[in-house]
Amino acid sequence: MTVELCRDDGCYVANQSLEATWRVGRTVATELESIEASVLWFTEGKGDEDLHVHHFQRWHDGHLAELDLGASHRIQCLLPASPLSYAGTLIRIGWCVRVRMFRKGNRECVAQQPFFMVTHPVR
Amino acid sequence: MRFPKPWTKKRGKRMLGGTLAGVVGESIFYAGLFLAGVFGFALMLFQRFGDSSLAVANAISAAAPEAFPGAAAATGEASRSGLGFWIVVILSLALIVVGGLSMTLRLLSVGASDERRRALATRAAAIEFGPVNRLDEQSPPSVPEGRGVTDSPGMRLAYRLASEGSMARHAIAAAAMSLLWNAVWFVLLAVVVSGFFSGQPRWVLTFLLLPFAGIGMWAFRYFLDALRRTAGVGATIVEISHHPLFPGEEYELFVSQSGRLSLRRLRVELICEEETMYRQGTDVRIDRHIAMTKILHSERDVTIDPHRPWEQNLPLELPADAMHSFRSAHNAVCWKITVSGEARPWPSFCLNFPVFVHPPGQRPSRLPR
Repeated sequence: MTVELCRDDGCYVANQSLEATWRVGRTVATELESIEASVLWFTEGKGDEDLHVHHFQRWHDGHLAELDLGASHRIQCLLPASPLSYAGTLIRIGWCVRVRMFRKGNRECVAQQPFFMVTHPVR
Repeated sequence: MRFPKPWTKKRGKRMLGGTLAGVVGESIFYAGLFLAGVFGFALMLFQRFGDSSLAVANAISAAAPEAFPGAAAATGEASRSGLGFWIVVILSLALIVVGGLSMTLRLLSVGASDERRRALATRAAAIEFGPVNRLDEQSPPSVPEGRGVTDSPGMRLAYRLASEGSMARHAIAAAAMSLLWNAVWFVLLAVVVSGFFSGQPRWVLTFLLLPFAGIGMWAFRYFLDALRRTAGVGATIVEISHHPLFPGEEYELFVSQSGRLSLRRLRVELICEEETMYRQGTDVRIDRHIAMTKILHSERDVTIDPHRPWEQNLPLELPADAMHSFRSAHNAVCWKITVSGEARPWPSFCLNFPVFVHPPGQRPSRLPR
């Protein structure tokens, strides 16, 4: 399972759109229960982790059967104004696109691609 | 098969057992609590309302107390157990509620990813609170609104900032603690003195009065220090030209300090602080780290007269790469202006005035005048 961002540098400007693609290989749809794709921010560091999901999509049952798992699928959303990516001493705020695949038999697989959310485009 | 060792130190996010074992263990524990509560509650109800022999015993003892002394004793015991009945009932109900709710919440989390639960919670919150108003729309997500800051207009500049943790409140808390402790000490002293007068001295309590008196004196001195600080250091006023603040922008600041003070040093600073909350065992701890400090003004040997407060207009420029204010459930990035003074003969003081920095972008135009 792979997740790819549309920008090579992984920097996205707040209040602007984000595009990413995900793809699942070597899996049959009948082996899957559901797939979730989300755009989220989380905190890391000394404190307990906080997580907020900004954009969420879920495919299951009938919707899953319609998906061509070998092909790339697009996630698109408009990013919020905040929180911006931050790397401090006690706190780190990170953004990522995360795809989680639930397989039958209570097994799951996660792939994620981190990105930076900034105020001005990086040149 | 490797058995989990509960006495080994857990490091990082590594788990001792499997996720499934954890869910099963927690569910069994909460189910046990719930069932123990149900058992206790049912037992109490049965004893109270189902045991008809108690009523019979009452009737018999009333009719012939000399013939059936055991019946009278049983009645007395039952009436004495009135308080115990209610304690057990309340404890049982608490067990039912805690066990039932915890098990429900734990089971709801099975089969759902963190992301899905958070997304559902966000949607539920949006439905619950309804459409946001105009001001909420202007406040970026996870950035504190800071409405309290813009509530009071200033005399010189647009807003007068509110201080965090007033010194008067501190003095009141110290007074309450000192008075309560010393009142208890005097009550105990009265008990000891009455014991000596009645010829039954309480030696243990008498010896305990000595360390208690030490604590009482310390509490009283602490209260006097707080009172001196509050009475000696006059009002500190900080006003700002705009709010919220934006990185890279320049603002104007007005600081005024009144009172009768002779300060070794007076300092005004802009501080950015990281704040994290974490659990260590059963304790909740808060850790703070100053990420950035900018001295706006520092002055040595300042003398302040009650009729002529110290006043200063200061420029305030926020760095262009400054992080915006941020608050989530366990983490925060806070900005504040601090006014601190090393005073004599009064103790030193330090007052914090929180401000909120927004990410560059939307600018609310809400001015008090």
